[in-house]
Amino acid sequence: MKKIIAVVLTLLLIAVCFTGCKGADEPKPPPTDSSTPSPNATDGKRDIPLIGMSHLGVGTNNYTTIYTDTLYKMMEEEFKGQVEFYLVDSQGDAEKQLSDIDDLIEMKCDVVILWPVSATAVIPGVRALYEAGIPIINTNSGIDVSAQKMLTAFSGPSDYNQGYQAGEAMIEALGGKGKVVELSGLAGYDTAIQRTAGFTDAIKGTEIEIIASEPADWSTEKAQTIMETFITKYGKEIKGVYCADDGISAGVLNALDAAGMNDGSIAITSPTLFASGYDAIAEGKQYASVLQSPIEDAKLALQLAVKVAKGESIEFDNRIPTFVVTKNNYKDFERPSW
Amino acid sequence: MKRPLKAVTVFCREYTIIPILLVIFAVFSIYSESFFSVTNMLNILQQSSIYGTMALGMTFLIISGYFDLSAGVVMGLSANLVIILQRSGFSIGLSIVTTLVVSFFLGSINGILVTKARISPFIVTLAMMITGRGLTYFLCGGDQIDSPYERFMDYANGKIWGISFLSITFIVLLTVSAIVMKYSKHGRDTFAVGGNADAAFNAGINVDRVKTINFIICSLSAGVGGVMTASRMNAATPFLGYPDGAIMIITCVVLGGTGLQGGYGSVLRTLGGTIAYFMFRNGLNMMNVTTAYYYILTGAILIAIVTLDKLQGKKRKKVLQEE
Repeated sequence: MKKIIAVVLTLLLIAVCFTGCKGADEPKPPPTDSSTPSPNATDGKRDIPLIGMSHLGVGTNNYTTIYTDTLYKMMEEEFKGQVEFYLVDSQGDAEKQLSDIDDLIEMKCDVVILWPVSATAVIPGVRALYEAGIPIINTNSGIDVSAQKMLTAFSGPSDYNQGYQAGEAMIEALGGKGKVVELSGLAGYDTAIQRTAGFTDAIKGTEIEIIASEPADWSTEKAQTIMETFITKYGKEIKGVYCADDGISAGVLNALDAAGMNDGSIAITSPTLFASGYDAIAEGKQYASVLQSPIEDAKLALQLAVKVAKGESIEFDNRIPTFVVTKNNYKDFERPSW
Repeated sequence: MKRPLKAVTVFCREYTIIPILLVIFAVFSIYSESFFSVTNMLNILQQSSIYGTMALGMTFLIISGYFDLSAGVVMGLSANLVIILQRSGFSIGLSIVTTLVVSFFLGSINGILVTKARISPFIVTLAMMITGRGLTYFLCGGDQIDSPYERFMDYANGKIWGISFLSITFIVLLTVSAIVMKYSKHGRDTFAVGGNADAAFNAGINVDRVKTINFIICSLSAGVGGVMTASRMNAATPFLGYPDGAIMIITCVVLGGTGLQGGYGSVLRTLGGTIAYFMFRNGLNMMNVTTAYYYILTGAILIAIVTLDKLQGKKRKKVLQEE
């Protein structure tokens, strides 16, 4: 008798979970973290196009979270009823992304927005989409050049330019000479590679020298540990720090604080502005950062996807604008919400 | 067959995962039209193949009473190793063979440390996990690396009659494992050692050798899993299999009903558990369930299945005692 109850309860649990998930999407306005699927559309043919997205990792950091929220908000406010939107989350796993892409193909998406975990490991997935005839919008982080001809479009920031802008800011801060350390992003990730390249090209020909560089994986904690090591190793030699984003600069500032070196004499520049960086620039502890908005990033990707789904033609290269923020002009910009 | 319904009920009680699988299948088929198709089922098989293969090896080890925390990292290490070797000029075939030899070697280290040095398997495999992680990072330089051979990708991504070579490998290895487990001396010894190691020893079984062989089987299958992953992506990333690869593999085994205490279980159960996990993940994707729900539901299902199986176990014991 007990066993039967257990079985029934388990099945009920499963059924409730599913109705809970589906029920959240019924007639009343869906919560912001759910979309409006209609899985029982008439015999496989959709009345409205389906946009699928293979996401790098929704919970990776503030940027990805706000990006995703923007997508759902736009679906709610602008595109409701015009298109359907399905998001699958790779959770940072390159292999899961390939499986997720298979699932999106299976769901017969009309367009796919792709935010790759890895520039090269995603290539079999890109190929699968291409062979299935599904147009691909590559967002935020580029895939390997060898596979780019299979894309319909790229949209996002120009990481190279942002790195370059951060480099120019560093030249300005140091008067063209001094030793800097670099804390880069995720090893092997195109965004990180481009930002490093931009910075290095900008300082070519000046007397600024990168004496050490370590990947900080976009993590504030990791950056703090790395910076502590750098301080121990190089001490007062460090005149500037190039951080791949403000998540990293936050860790660097913590480390400098702890070492009592946080008086603004060390120039910190980064190619991506976060709220923490904004505050640090206002207080004079960070020299400069570059505004790259996840809201603009998401908007552009979704708008392009909708256009393609409706059959309109678009440009291949679509970049969002980016701005250098320093102590002199930070008041012109709104404090970022990420 | 006398009383076929009774036979089916007994089978379902014994292999609780099968009715669970059917329920999951039914529920998703109702709620998502893209789910219910041959290509999707083949996709699920494809997606299950890598972890399924690794779970086969882990099944042997768990039945003999142990588990291997380093399996995920050995997978990641193997994936990176096979790519690095190819980049250093090894042919595809030689890189695969060398990688498998290395994973064999790692498994034997695990086995020897546990049996001869008598260190707890938790510590040994944990240490192997950490060391392996360091080795992986060292090999790939913290960077993602890709294979110089385009053809390497064709193994994992190529298909025959719609079924990928990856799935075929998994099915073949599954069959081999089932035969070894049921009909070979090593298979019988594994169950004996897992059930009661002292009794097995007194019965003349070389307990140390059985355990070591199982550690090797586990690491070797993780090595195969690594090669498969590298072929799937034609690349390797630094984070493969870390930190929870081993936990996922163990989950697939336990979901099927093989108990962690050892002494009973089967690869058929592991197949059921692996398919259930990936079918569930696939179904949730099809229904556009957000990440948070995904984790919560997976955890709930795991608890539900394991509890059910525990209850079945008690009923099984009662029935046995009554006979």
